Amino acid sequence: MSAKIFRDPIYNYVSIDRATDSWLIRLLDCPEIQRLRRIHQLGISNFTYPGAEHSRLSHSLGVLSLMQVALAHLAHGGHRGIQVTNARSALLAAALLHDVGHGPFSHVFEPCLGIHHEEWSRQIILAEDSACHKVLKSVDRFLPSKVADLIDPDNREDPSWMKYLLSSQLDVDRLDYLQRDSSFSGAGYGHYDWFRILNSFQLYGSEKEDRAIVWEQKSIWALEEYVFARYYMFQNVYLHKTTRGFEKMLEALWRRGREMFHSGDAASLVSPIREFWTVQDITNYLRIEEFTVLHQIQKWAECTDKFLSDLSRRFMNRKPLSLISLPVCFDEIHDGIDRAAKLDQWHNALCEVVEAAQFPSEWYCLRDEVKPKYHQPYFPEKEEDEQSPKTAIRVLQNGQTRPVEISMLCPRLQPVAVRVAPTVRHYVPPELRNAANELRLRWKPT
Amino acid sequence: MDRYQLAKLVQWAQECSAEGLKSRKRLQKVVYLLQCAGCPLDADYSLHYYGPYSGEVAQITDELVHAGLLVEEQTQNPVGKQFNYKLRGLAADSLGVFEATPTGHDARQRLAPFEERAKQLLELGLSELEYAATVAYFHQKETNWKSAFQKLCDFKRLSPDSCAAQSALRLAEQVVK
Repeated sequence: MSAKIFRDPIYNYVSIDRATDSWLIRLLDCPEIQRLRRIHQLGISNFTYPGAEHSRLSHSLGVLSLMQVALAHLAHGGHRGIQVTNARSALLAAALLHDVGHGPFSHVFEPCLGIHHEEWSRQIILAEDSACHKVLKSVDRFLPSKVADLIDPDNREDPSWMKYLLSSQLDVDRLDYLQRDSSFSGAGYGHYDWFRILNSFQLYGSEKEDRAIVWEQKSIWALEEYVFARYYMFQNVYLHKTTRGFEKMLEALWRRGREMFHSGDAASLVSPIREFWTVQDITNYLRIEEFTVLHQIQKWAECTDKFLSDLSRRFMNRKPLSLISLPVCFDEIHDGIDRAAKLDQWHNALCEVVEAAQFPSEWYCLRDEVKPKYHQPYFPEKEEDEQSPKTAIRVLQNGQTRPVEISMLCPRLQPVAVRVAPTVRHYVPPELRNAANELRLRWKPT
Repeated sequence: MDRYQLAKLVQWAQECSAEGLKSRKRLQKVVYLLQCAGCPLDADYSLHYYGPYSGEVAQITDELVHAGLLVEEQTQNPVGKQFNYKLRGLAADSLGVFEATPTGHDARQRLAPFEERAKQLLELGLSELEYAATVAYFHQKETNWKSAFQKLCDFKRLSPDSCAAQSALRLAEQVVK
């Protein structure tokens, strides 16, 4: 029986063996997964990188493909134990389903709907009437709950190595999206030797222990390259200032729309949005597509609320807000213990400029706080005795019996593993850019 | 959680013991339990192998060390490394300066009702804090002490009759608002 083969721009081919894994083809055909075809992997990054049009479905297939490589490596590398054999179906299914709960525009839209995609993924997998639940149950009646547990960040029952492959600082999810996002955006920073990475790890510990994944010494350069690729992608693509500005604008206009809905104005809402905001169940959630969101914004662009229509038009016509950086007194080393209070003061000062020009600051003075974890591509996890050491990258050197965390072996990684203060930037209408920048130059905290 | 709040906790720890705040795990669990008591620290937590853990708390701690406001001392314990923290003189001074401003005064007032509870927690053993924070975490999810306690025992492989499990439950029940 031949394999089902998909062409893929990253791996050339992704294949599913019909003889052993025909259920994966049935899973792929489920409406909940096919829906991912209509979700942009990179949200609205195509506002900045026009090529970034790829979907969550192609990413999910890529993750499945990499999980197949990892499991084949374990099987060929002397880890044919019962634990690995039993884990196979759950890991393959989780690879394909890990993003099934994503909503329109992926992560970008989560604050707009007030959702977390992981929670929806679990709900969809566990819902007895979902097509993917039925396929999983036909393979093994416990498979839906095994898969849901694997993608649950709070679940600590599964073996560490399984969780690691799926969700860690070097999991198959990251290994795929960095390459795919780099390739489609055209940014080109996501190059690393993924094949070596997935063919040079082993399970550390005896069968009776909770075994962890460690890498062989020969892979450290590929691992170092991977961490830097992640750093460059965050700096250049994921945190791009223009994209972030549009994301904040989208959040603001959606907040305004939701506020109007809660104050009784549901007239301008398209029905899937109105129904989801009324009853937040799986059926209503899955009906919200990217075209639903864009249709909604088009409607708002014509609505009578001056600010909602203005923001909607700016979004649809790609008219960005202007970025205003922090005043120089916010140098990360020299600002002190009262940084949060100073940031609030600066925000309030900018809001006054915006309000003076008759723009409500709530919608037109947008604060973007980039969490430090996005500037730090890798966390060495110094608290190994106190927390989980299971997500860091560890290397077993030749002749040694205990693995070592990789930044101890590659000092070049240490500068990008240092914790920095959150980056804060503001966005205001372009017509206020000069006034805001003048304030920025002379502003001092009181 | 912000820098001021974390520095204030370290200052309270120094008032309890000249050695300052001993171990990151203590900091993690004390912040979590204080939040459960209603203290407005607002740090995000998820469940790790050793109970509730906040990347945000870890982040701000390292940020303060990097900014030269906290002194980090590394010691070896039976299971690995332990990190202890004290305020640098500069940071202690700027805490006082900030608290003299209207914004700082307000920030101080918001924490003040929890000072006694914080000092009590800072002096407890690490295991007691870990188990109490873990049962409190399950209680936040389940809103039911009985099932939260059962989950703690399953998660940490504790006997329900053990002193450790029982005293963790008592502490969590006292703390959770």
